[in-house]
This record gives sequence, C-alpha cells and structure tokens, in this order.
Amino acid sequence: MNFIDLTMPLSYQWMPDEVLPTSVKFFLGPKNHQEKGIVVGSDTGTCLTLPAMFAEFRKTTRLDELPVEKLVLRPTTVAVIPKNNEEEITRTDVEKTLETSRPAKGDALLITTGWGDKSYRELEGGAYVLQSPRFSLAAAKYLGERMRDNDNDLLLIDTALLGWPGNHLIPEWCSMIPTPPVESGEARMYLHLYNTDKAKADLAIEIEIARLGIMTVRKLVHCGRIKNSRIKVIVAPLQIVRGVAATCRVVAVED
Amino acid sequence: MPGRGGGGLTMRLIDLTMPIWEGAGYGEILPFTNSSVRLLEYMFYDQHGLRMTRMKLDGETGSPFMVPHQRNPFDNTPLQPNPKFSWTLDEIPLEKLILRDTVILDIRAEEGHEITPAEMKTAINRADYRKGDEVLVRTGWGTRQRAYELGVDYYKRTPSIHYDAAALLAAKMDEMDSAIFMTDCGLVNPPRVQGNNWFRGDRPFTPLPKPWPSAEARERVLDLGAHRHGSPHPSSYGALIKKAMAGCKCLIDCDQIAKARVKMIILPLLIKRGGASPCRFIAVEE
Repeated sequence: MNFIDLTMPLSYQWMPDEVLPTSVKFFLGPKNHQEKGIVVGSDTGTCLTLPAMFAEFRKTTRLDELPVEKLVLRPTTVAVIPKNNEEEITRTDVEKTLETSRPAKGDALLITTGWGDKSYRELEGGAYVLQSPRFSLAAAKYLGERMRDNDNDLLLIDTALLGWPGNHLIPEWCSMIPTPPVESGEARMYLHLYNTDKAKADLAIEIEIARLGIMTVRKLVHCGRIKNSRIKVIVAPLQIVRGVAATCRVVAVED
Repeated sequence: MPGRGGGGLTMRLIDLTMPIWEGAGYGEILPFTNSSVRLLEYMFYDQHGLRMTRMKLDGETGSPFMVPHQRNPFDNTPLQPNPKFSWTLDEIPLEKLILRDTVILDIRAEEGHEITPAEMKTAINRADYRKGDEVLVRTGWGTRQRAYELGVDYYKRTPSIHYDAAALLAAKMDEMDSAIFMTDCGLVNPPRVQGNNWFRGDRPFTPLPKPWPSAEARERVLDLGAHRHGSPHPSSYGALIKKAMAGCKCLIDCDQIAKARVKMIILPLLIKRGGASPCRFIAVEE
C-alpha cells in the first residue's frame, strides 16, 4: 500500500493562496502571543467545500453531518487534463478525459492538471491563484451533470480555483496597486460592498457544481506522484459543527 | 454503518473525532494549554449569497494530536526532556498515521475517577496487545452528546489517568514499540493536577475566568513564572509523551468500536514544523 500526501502544507511564514479579499491569513501564534493558536479560513490551503456554502443550498448537509464513508477510503477515479498557466479546462477536455477514465459509479473524481505539481513557492505576485487553470462554465456544467448522473458527488482538483472570478473580484481587487493584504481594512471594505449579485457572477461555476450536489476539494498538490488510475482517497477536514467548508488533509491510497 | 471494502472485505468506519464549535468546553476550561474557539463569519448568506468563516482554533482544539515538541515551530523544547520521538507534524511518515493497528485498553471509569496502576495493568493483561500497536485507552466517558451537554463540566468531571498508571502504560508502550497514545478522557492529567488553582485546588477561581489571553491567565504566568499548572503532583501526560510520538485526547464515541483491535486513521492538519493540531480519528473495523 502506498500513501501520497496531496495536502498543501500550512506555513505560518507564507501561503500562496492569500491573494483575494475573500481569504483569511493562516496564522500560528506562539504560547505567549495574544493570539496564541491557529487561524484558518474556510478555504485555507487544501480545502473541502460543500454545496451548503451557498445560500441557495444552505439546507443541505454540513461538515459534521457528512457520512464518514463519503470522505474516507473512498474509491476514486483519477483523470488527467494537463493545463498550464491561465488555461481553461474546456468541455472538449472534459469529454475526452471522461471517455478515457470512465469513472465508476459512486467514485470520487480526482482531476489533475499539473498545476499543483508546480513549485508554487516560486510563483510571484499571487500567481498561484491568479494564473491557476480553471473550468469554463460549459465544461463545469457538463462535468457536473455527468458526475451527478453517475453518483460521483466528490470532485477533487489540483487547481487553486474552480472558476475564474473575473467579473468583479479579480479586476476590482487587483486594480488596487499595490494590492492590499488579505484581512486588511481595504479587504473588509471591499467585502462590505461586495454583494450577492456580484458573487453570483463571479462564482457561477462553483454555484453550478454545488447545484448538482457535488462537494469539491481544491488546491491539491503532488498529484503527479499518483501512478494508478483508480485509487482511494482520504479527505479529513476540520470537523466544524454546522460548517460548510474547511481546510483539510488529503491522502491518496494506492493498493 | 457498512463501508466499502477492498478485496471482498467489508469495512466499518467509525468517526471518533470531537467536533469543533464556538464555546466548546475544551477551549474554555484551562488557562493556557488550550484557548477559546472563535468562529467569525465574514461573508454572509444574506449579504453575499455565501458563507465564509475565520476560525480561531488552537493546537488542542477538538480531538488534538500533540507531539513531544508541542511548542513548535516557535520553541523546540520538548514537554519532557529526552523524548523518544522528535518528529514535527509535517515530518511524520503517513505510514505511521494511516491504518495503524491499534489495541483498545478497556478501563470503564466513572466521572472523576483517576485510573489506577492496578486498573491499567489489568487492562493491559486482558487486551490483545501486539508489538507495534498504537494504544487507545477507552473509558466510555467521551461522547459527542455528553460534550455538547456538559460544556466545561465535561472536563471538570472527566475520568483521567493517575501518574503511576500513566508511567506504567508508558513503560509498556516503550516495550511494545507503540508510538501513539489515544484516549476518550477529556484530560489525561487528573483535573486536580491540570486545573490546579484554576478550577480545582485550594484556590479555584469562581467564576471561572476566560483562558489565555485573559488578565487572569496572564497573572497566573506572573505568579508561576511560566505557562504551567503549578500542581505539586507530577504530570501523567508528561510520563506518556516522553515515550510516545504523539498524545491524543478527547476522542469520542469509542464504544461504537465492537472489536478489541482496530485500524486507526489519524490525520492532523499538515502544519509546517507544527507541534499540535486538531485531528481526525477514524476507526476502521474489518
């Protein structure tokens, strides 16, 4: 049995995903610090997001209600869609990879683009997030429908984002030069003015995937080390009562 | 709950993880070793159409996984001198955490009971304890429902392990090459030791103060000269962690395990050079 850690390490010195105002800065405080302890956000590092993150689906399962079989030693089909900086995963890409990989009914689906195998520590200026490969809306819809029809309700991927929040979030936030830090006064003010309509435009792909009842895990690393086309995954999120998303540990198990 | 199996086996997966919620007793009971869970929503269903949360946790939140050098990455001093293991969270090979053979040491304990050396010895002798096993001390105390209902009393009234019993188990773990100690007790140290002159002892605080960084916790550091419990009695947890790769407490619902041995999946957060973390504990019965 071979175990592969697919988790982005949480470093108090620097995290590559603290770019957008929707992020929380990962913080580790020593024992004599006023803020002793650990601070994480809903999507710090490798993270699990449930459909209940979105208001439309808030009556669906929460983190502490998830049957453990959904996340632990779950049979998983591995699909490869190689992508480089800023490239979009198209519907044709998805059609081809599903034709090749043929996920078994009830499997989770792990899509590896290669993005999580790059040395993100060397990417400057938020490039890990801002240049991440992402789905087109047509690709996400097609993938989501195929997954729903095949009871594949867990999607894992090595990209930083699922879709590109390019209507408001990225152009508006990144037009501020220098870009303010996360959790800054500017970030709070930006979120104060951000609203449901803007979020729906920016997160159309995430909302579409959630509508189809699919849980997602993003920001996997080292997927290139997986050799088998069918594995088991262990997804271990923080067990937050009534939580909708959390940082998690993800391990691939190869027999 | 039946699970999936490989090779024709049917597996049963049992989640033994204490949930995390704001106000949880484990974050409120002690002055330093754990601090309050604070969950702050900063994106809202009604305003943004989605929920995002800033979570202030602690290395000992929920069911924690704590290595001997627990204060890392800022202070590499181990809790006890010359510990047998010295891995930080990110250095532990996955083989040491996943599907670990684990023996259950059954010691039924009423509330407030301190497990004695005789009870520990009997439990060890009765168990099917094999070389290389990890250890789960099951008292029956830890349940999700009880933790939700009792608040800080869950920890004030928890069974615990007397120092001499802990020392006996530590010696056995060393002999058997066991590396991970787990228990469903709320505290490993007796409350009279861990909560000395905080919620127990000659001069307990009433009402109970908030933990660090409260003024009372800071004053305690001034009084004791360090972040410690100040009890004259030795630390049971200290005896165990000297011989263990990790100490883990506050597991719940262990009575759902039907067999005397299980395989455990133990996954703390992957904190770079970290010393302690909330952890998921899943028992796998085949």
